[in-house]
Amino acid sequence: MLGQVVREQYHLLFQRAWSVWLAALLLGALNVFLFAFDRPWTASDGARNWGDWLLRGIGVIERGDLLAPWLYSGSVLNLGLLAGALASALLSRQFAIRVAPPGELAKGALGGLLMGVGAVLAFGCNIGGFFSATSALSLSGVAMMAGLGLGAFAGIRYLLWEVEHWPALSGGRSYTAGAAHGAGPGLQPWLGGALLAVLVVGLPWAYSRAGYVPQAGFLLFGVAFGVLFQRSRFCLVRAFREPFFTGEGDHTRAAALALTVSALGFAILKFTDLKDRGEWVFPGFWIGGLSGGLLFGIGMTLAGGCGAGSIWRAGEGHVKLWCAVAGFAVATSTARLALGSAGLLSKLGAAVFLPSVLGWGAAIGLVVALMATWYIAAAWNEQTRRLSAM
Amino acid sequence: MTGPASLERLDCRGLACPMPVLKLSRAIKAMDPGGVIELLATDPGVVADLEVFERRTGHQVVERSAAGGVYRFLVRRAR
Repeated sequence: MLGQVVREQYHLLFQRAWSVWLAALLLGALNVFLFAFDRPWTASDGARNWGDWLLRGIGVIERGDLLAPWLYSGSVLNLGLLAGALASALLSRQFAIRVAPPGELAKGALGGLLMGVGAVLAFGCNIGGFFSATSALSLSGVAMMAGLGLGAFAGIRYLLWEVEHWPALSGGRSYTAGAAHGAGPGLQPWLGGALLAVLVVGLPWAYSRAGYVPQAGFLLFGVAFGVLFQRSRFCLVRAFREPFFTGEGDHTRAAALALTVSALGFAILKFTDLKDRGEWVFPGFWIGGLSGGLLFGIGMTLAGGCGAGSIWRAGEGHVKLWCAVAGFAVATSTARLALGSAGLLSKLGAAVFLPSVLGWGAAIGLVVALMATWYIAAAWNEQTRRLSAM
Repeated sequence: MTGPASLERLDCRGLACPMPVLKLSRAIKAMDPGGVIELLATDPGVVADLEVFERRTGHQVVERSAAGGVYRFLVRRAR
């Protein structure tokens, strides 16, 4: 009897795709929990930590104060995301090392590089600079949203051109290894279950024993994001790209819902002074947000994954996204260094906290109205196909 | 009915989203109405992508299967 129940629940959780709406609601809520715990979610500062270590390793920078990747909060979140998605893919028998043709790997790396530069200009990736910044009622997040939309449009127009006029780029040999075979469950679910147990019990226990309790928390948040994304395939690239491609609006509407939930939670935390009102309000309105969003939007469309999407898909075994993550880490670290030393980071725009300008009610109303407009626009386009290529 | 002579194959193994759907979209445009194309892919996202493709374009997925990490679809071009 118990075995039957376990099999049924396993089937429900790891054989069937989760609803993107459920994922969106949970994503919005988890981002609020994460902000309440410490800081909002972003993928770029963790990637920058990885890039900084690389630059330090090859002697480009000297940073004695650089925190180890297993201790730096953003990096631990990313590692949790990667490993959580890996565990989830194994549990679902969907893990395989998928080596795309060379042209695709190059596109992944180029997309990652563009995302890295974009994330520096916009003070965060699409998660930190757009999703979390807009939730934090920062006008830079709205500027990045506009840039991401333009970038996704440019990116998908390029991809449509590419398959028409340069199909050889995505042709050529590809390899797949380690996929689950046979009708039975096989080894993957057992490996995934063991990895998940290590991630949610073993490592948090080890962190807290070593005195790093916050890191245990960041790891658990990252793992939750990884499982959530891998099972639902909820995708913020899709939210921006798909209206210009198939016209499908599900992920766009779900993203608008996720951001609304997240923004309401952030507003409560800030209004009640549980969190500092200036947190995650970036001096990127409008030049940094718009230009960074544009580059990031092109990059994420070429790579096929955003800051977070590249990392969780890397965990699922897509080598193209490994290239994207590597490019993202190197570029975000290098661009930050270059812009910082040129004194340009303070010239990317103003830090505008919407309630300071509009008052709390109008500021929250503006963000909710913006999300409602995005939602309705996606539904309208789905019906009319005015913006879509199909 | 479509005979095997009109069956084309599109190998998208190793490609990540959105490339399989982009390539399928281009390939199907070049086909005659009623023609069937076989799509092979390894990205798990292709399952949901093909549902959207079917809904948005009217082309019909007439057969779907998965084995050894390879997803196989037969897609018939709408008339």
